[in-house]
Amino acid sequence: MAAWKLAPALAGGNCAVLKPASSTPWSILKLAELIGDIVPPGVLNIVTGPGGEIGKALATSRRIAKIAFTGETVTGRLIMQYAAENIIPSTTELGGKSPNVFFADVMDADDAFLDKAVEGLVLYAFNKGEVCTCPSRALIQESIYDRFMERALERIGRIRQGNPLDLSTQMGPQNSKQQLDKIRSYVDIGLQEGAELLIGGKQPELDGELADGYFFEPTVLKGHNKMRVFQEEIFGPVLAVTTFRDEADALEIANDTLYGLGAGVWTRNGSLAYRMGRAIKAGRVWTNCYHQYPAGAAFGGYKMSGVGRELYRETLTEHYSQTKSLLVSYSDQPLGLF
Amino acid sequence: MTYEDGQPPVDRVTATPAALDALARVREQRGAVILYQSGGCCDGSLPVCLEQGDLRIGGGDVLLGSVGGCPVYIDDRQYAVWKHTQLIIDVGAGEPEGFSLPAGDDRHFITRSRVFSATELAALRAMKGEPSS
Repeated sequence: MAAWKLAPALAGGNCAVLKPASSTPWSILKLAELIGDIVPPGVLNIVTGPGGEIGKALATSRRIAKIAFTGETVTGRLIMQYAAENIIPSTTELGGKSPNVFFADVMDADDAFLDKAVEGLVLYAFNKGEVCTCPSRALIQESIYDRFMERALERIGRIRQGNPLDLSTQMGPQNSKQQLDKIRSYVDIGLQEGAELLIGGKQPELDGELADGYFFEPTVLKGHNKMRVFQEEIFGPVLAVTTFRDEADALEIANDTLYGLGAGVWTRNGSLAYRMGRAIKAGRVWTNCYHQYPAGAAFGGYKMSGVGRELYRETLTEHYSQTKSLLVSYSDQPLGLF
Repeated sequence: MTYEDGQPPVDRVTATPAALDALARVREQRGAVILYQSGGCCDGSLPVCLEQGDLRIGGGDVLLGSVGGCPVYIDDRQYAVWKHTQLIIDVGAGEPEGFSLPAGDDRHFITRSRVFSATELAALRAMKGEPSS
């Protein structure tokens, strides 16, 4: 994610100051080790530490010409406020609650595509759900709900949790104790709201050195879209699942959210996929796939998911460099006016 | 907001003793602070603690109440989907992320939530000044 911001900044001929989240400084320092002797001194600067002190000082500095931020909405709002004070541009990516929509025709045949669709639902557990675009709401057409979920739950039940350095592990621990506590509290809110726990909902029982790890079982809660577990990014392996009647119903539920970062649509009907892709208010809609991040495809959100797009050509041309018009006359003759 | 008997019958936001202690210490060091319930990515479900005046409060911000002399706000769009729950400000282990001030050394503010009972929800609906969202 740091590269999404650093690469266009450096390609545009800028110096950059990067502040990683206070809990995740390691990977960016590792990147600096790799490229530190390639970029000239002073071009790439990394500052670690608490955001409350350092973040504000950086974001309000008169020496900063552009800010890009990924995180939660209140800090995003502060970033935009500070950018306004200094009259500089900003881009903000503030998360999502991405719908993953499964139409009945995915079960028209028991084939590789159906298997792919089931896998597409289970991708909510990818990176333990700690992804802004996590497909954390599954919308399943009611006529296939039971049969489709049976397959999905069977697949979720087979996810192997363990040491992330073990190649056979499919899901490691959450990022921090804070994250684990928050996930637990969300499952609790969901149950209080009347959601039905279909699988998971607790820490797995792991032995030895993993016993006190920040692991959480891949979890599915069934409920309705007005529940908080359907409305707020949990940033963990917790899927909120509900049903829809028809295309219009699917679209209404998909768009009934404060966010609009990602979405998935699964169907064998190309026209339906295209209509949904056009109508879902999200910065990217994956059709019959999910979690693909090719270079060149714009990434960013509608609504409270933030302002601006990254990862595509205009990120470089519009965000990390200026657009300038040079108007040059090659005639020595006056215009003949006045 | 005004209430018929001067006090809301049900608090939309409360705080644990640990949070009240932490807020008192933060206010000692920093002066007046606010809590703003965040949303979205990463640690988006946490209350962000800021020096009063840092964040421009606008017409779309709902004042949920006050804990330990510290106003607690939420975005009205978020309030619309959170209003059936009471927010309980507490303290958790670890540094905060984003721009939030910490709740003491290696501590951060967190929000716990409790779904209101039907009686509480009826009392909340009867309150004057209920934010219209």
